[in-house]
Amino acid sequence: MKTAILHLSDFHITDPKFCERTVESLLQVNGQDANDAFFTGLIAKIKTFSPKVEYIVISGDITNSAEVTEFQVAEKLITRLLTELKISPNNCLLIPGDHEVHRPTLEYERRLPENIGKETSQMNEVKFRNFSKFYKAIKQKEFDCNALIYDEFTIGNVVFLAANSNYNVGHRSAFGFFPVEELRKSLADTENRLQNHHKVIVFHHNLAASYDDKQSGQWDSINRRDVIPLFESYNLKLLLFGNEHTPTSRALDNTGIYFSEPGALSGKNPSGSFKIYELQSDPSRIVFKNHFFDNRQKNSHQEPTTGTFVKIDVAELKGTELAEFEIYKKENHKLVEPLSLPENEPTIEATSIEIAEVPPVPVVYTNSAIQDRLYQIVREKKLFHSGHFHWSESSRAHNWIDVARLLEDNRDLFFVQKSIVDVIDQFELDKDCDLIIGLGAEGNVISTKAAIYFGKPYTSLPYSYRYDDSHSFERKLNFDNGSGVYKTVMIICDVVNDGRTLRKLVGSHEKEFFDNVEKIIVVSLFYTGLAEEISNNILNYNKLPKDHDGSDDFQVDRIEFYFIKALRIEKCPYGSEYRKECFIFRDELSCVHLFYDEEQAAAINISD
Amino acid sequence: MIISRIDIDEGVYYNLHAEEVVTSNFLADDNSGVYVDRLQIRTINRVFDDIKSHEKKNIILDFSKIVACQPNLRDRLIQLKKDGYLMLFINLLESLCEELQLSIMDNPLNKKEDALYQKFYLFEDQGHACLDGEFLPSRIFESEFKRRIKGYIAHHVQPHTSSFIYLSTFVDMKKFISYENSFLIFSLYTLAIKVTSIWKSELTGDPILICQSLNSSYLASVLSTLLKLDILILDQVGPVNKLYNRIEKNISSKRKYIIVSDMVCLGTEVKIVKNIVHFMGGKCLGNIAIIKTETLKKSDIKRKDATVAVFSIKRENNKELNFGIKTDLESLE
Repeated sequence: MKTAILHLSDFHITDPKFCERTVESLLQVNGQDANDAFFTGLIAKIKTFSPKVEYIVISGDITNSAEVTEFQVAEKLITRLLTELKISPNNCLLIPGDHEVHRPTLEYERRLPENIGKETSQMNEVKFRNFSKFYKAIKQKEFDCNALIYDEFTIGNVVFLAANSNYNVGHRSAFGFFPVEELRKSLADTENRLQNHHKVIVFHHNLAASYDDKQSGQWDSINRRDVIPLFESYNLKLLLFGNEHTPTSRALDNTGIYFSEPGALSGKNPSGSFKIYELQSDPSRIVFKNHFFDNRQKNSHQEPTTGTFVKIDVAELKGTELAEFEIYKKENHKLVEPLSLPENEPTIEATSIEIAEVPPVPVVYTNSAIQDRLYQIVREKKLFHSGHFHWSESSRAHNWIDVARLLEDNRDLFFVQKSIVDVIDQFELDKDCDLIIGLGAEGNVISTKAAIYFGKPYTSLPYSYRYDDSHSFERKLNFDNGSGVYKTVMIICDVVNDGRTLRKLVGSHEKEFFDNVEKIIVVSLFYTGLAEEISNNILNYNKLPKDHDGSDDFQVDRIEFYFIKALRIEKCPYGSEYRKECFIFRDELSCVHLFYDEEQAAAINISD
Repeated sequence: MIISRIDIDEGVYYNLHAEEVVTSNFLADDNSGVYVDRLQIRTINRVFDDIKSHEKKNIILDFSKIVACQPNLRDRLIQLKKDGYLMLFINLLESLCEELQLSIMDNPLNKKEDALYQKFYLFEDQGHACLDGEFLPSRIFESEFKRRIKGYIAHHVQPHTSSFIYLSTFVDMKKFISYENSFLIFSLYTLAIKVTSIWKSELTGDPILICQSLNSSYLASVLSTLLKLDILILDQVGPVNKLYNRIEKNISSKRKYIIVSDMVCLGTEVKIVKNIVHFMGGKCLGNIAIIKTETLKKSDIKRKDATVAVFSIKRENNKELNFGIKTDLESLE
């Protein structure tokens, strides 16, 4: 059998009236002529493909804000697509992305008396109200907003399943998630109904990322540990998703499961793209050949304006794309003689088995778009300095990130503030948080949006090495924790190295307050330390390396750490004798930068 | 977070534009600063939820700087009216009134000048004298600020000799920022609006906000969002008066600088920052603060007062606020 499946994703049709950011999509509500021209080019290109495209999957974020006006345009464009390509709506899978959740309505309705206390997963009718109307207009049937797997089509003995990964998406953004038991049940039902069918599943959130060192994509990392084994046990072979706007395909982790992302259809930068999977099936083998199309003129670096798609040979795509996905191959099995068990085997005494403690899965922020943007700013503005930088007698390094300079541009500042909110949002760190503290001037500056957004009590404190440079009233926390009211406190700062400054704050400067704090959440822009394995507890004293210099440090072991970007800096290799051993410092060569007053610090040490 | 709610004797006041600025910039990612002019449904919901959360039924909605609004506002207003709320709108554009189809309601006490309703009553019955006074937003704000700041004026335990004068009390702005955070944001909004008015043409040159202390860094951060201006963090001016970080400090002769302070008393720290800016080739536009102290009569000031603040401690109120400045010299009077 030969046929072809069209994979489109992330149209982000935008109504600028409701757009909260710069419009990144070529498809806009008020751009009918441009939209029509775009789809004319798109359809023309698809029609040139052989074999004929007879199926289509659209993996979410069709609209930008789930507004009615956006869905009206989407309905018109997709109807045109199906009509001109002569594809039945039954052979089309429409997947909702997180942008299909109408947040203003959800924000409002969740406060109604009848909805107080409901989780977002219990308000699917509200979430998908606008999407449901659009879905019915295209598919001529209702969208089951509460079903995890809600639609399918079959091609011979291959079934394509449509799944909704927006379980946790609500008025705030969230990672992809499948409730495990419901997924198990749905896959079991499918297997019972469609025995001997090979399964392909389509959803929105990316289960992996485009960069080799980030594995969990935009998926809840704990849920991912359960979902992937389930896919394996039910023999799913191919995952199709979108969300990341980066076309790619490869095998998932160390499994035999392939995944493919087509990129954003109508993106400006990077340029839009889509894929066609050519199905080649015979009794011994089923394979999808991967064909990639990009919206650009060859050798042009300009942003495309219409759907001028060109086919790109995947061989040219330098390891980011696979040429094909083999989802079935008939194996040649040899019969094996059953083993005969020896008689009268001596019994084996049971021995106790020690089960190694499984370390907790680190909950690490992996929004590559934000991390890469942050790193790009550091590079473009040349903020990563080399030299000898001293913050105290014991805190010395040979690199420094000039965060104050990073924050100067108000657009970069807004981006950084939003990033901090994103970290807190994604891990729901605000849920039990009783107080937010902005640390240092930079921490204060980057915390303002979070403090207002989450509506938490807020204060600020100087860095430990700045305590004596500040007015006495600046050093006051102004919140009394004698009765233990503030059990969970969040500290927001710009840079964390080994956490010494934080432990000094908790164990010394504000000991009285923090003695009654059960959990300290630290959210930082950068982590500059040397930990080989990143986890949330690396700032705790009991997790420090054995050779850690414990002088002027404090035993604090209840810090939970999150950061946006790791950017390792080189610590000063000299020990306490650096004044003699480091010739650069000793001979006052010009690249030494002191961020503290040596005389004042010495006087304080003497008085202590 | 509702920032502009002020309880007055006659009822409860809300500034819808201030609330929209919070929604757009801090709850959503619109990032348009104080330049938004359209009321979104999210803002309407927030304000109306707050209205229903308290018992007072007299509501004053300030429509200053609101040019348009998303649908549903009319329905919400009518529902509130049905629920027994008496509403007075101030600074409502006639065009908006017509868009909301409210002009069918005709109260003879409505006061219109040019195309602006200074007062528009959302009821026709004239018998509600409680909402009949003058409601000037600036006076409402100033009165509320004075009421709140009193709680943060504390005595110095030991003689405080800032700038070679005695200050018997000080304003604990850090505590104010923490405990009055919502109202502080409204104060910053008010300050931002004032800046856009006073320095309208100068703002086109994108001046830079300078902060030099922990408090002013918080204020500058919020003002950066509101005014869409860049910031510069000086590390550190304050008790040490020592700049630690001089690496490529970006003070340009082509840009102007606005010094951000929490409170300006005699202006010593402001002068230090000004000198640093001038020394490094920049030019100061002026100084903005939440509070300033007016130690001189306006008529005696020869040069233009370059400090813009939302609240002044002055002769008319310093006794009430228990804020005073002394020296050890004998009085000549």
